[in-house]
Amino acid sequence: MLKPGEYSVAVKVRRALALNLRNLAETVTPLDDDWDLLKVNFKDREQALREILWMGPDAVVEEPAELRLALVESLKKLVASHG
Amino acid sequence: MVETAAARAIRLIDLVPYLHNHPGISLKEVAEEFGVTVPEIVKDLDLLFMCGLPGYTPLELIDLSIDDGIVSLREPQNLDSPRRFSQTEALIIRVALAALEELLPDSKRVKVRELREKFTRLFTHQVPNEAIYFESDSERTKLKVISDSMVQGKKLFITYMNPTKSQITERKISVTAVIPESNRILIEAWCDLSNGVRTFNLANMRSVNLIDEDSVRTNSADEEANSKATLRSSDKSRFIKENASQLEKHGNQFLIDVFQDEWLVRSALAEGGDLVVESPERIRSRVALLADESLKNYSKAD
Repeated sequence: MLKPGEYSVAVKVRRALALNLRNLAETVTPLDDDWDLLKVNFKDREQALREILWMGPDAVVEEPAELRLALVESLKKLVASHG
Repeated sequence: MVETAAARAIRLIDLVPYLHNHPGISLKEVAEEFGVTVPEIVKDLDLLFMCGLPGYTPLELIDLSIDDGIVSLREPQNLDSPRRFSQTEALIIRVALAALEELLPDSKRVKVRELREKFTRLFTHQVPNEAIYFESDSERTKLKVISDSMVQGKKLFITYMNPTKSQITERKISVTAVIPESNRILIEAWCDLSNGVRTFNLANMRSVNLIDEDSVRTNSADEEANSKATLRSSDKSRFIKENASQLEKHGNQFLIDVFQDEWLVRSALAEGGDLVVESPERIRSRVALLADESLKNYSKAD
């Protein structure tokens, strides 16, 4: 099980999914019928990247912008190497 | 056995509505119903005959007769409806209903829950509903249902928490084996949803119900369970480090046994491109698909 930490992220997750992130979340705010917004404190940036990538299209980072960019980079690499 | 006056008084009060609702009942049956002897019931009835409302003329008294061992109650006065349960009796019933509700299959639970809610409405002022909580040994209850399904050759309907995908799914499964391990119990079964053999952790089964569908016959050798995947990666990849014992290294490629497609798919995603699944194609293409869908989430928002 993950321990809460210092790297704070706002991440959108699909309703009823991403229990791993939900268990870590400080707050959960319903956005619409499909999505909830979680505030999660990850141990570090690397942990945030891994956990969110693991969820695939069921989790979308809102903030920080820097993490969004890193995710997009990783996803592009994944598409390129597996396409 | 010496009986207290209170116990007898309660029996007397209960007798009137009971006799009122069972005209022409025999003394013997009444005695059996109330768990006392016939002479005692006769004594009770003799006493009831003297009871009634002020005025105490025959008009205000309870009127009953015994002929040939048959009891007839002609005038119950104001005792014609059953007395209310005492708080203790109501509490005992509520606890028992809570236990029943926990143990019954879903389909039969509704009526018990309705009854319990009715009791709660009538008797909440002393014991709130939240104070009554009953937890059965749920694993044992689930195991019983699972073994029933194997004996009867029927499918199970389960709700399952998948820790890999962090997702709750509903599945129909045909159990082939129950595998006890030191700290968990695994259930091997054909899963209609995945169209293959899957292993489920009993602890992650949120509910298990028998359904009236014949189970799928299968030998547990699944094409997926025995397949190997070819991976390409740098040594610095966390996945390679963590799974070193299960990897066979061939040049700059690694071979690994795949027990669950989705686990490898998600692991590859989490590596963010540092780990490439070269084969099998179904896993490779699923990684690409999920990554592509994820990218769309970001391009839409920007």
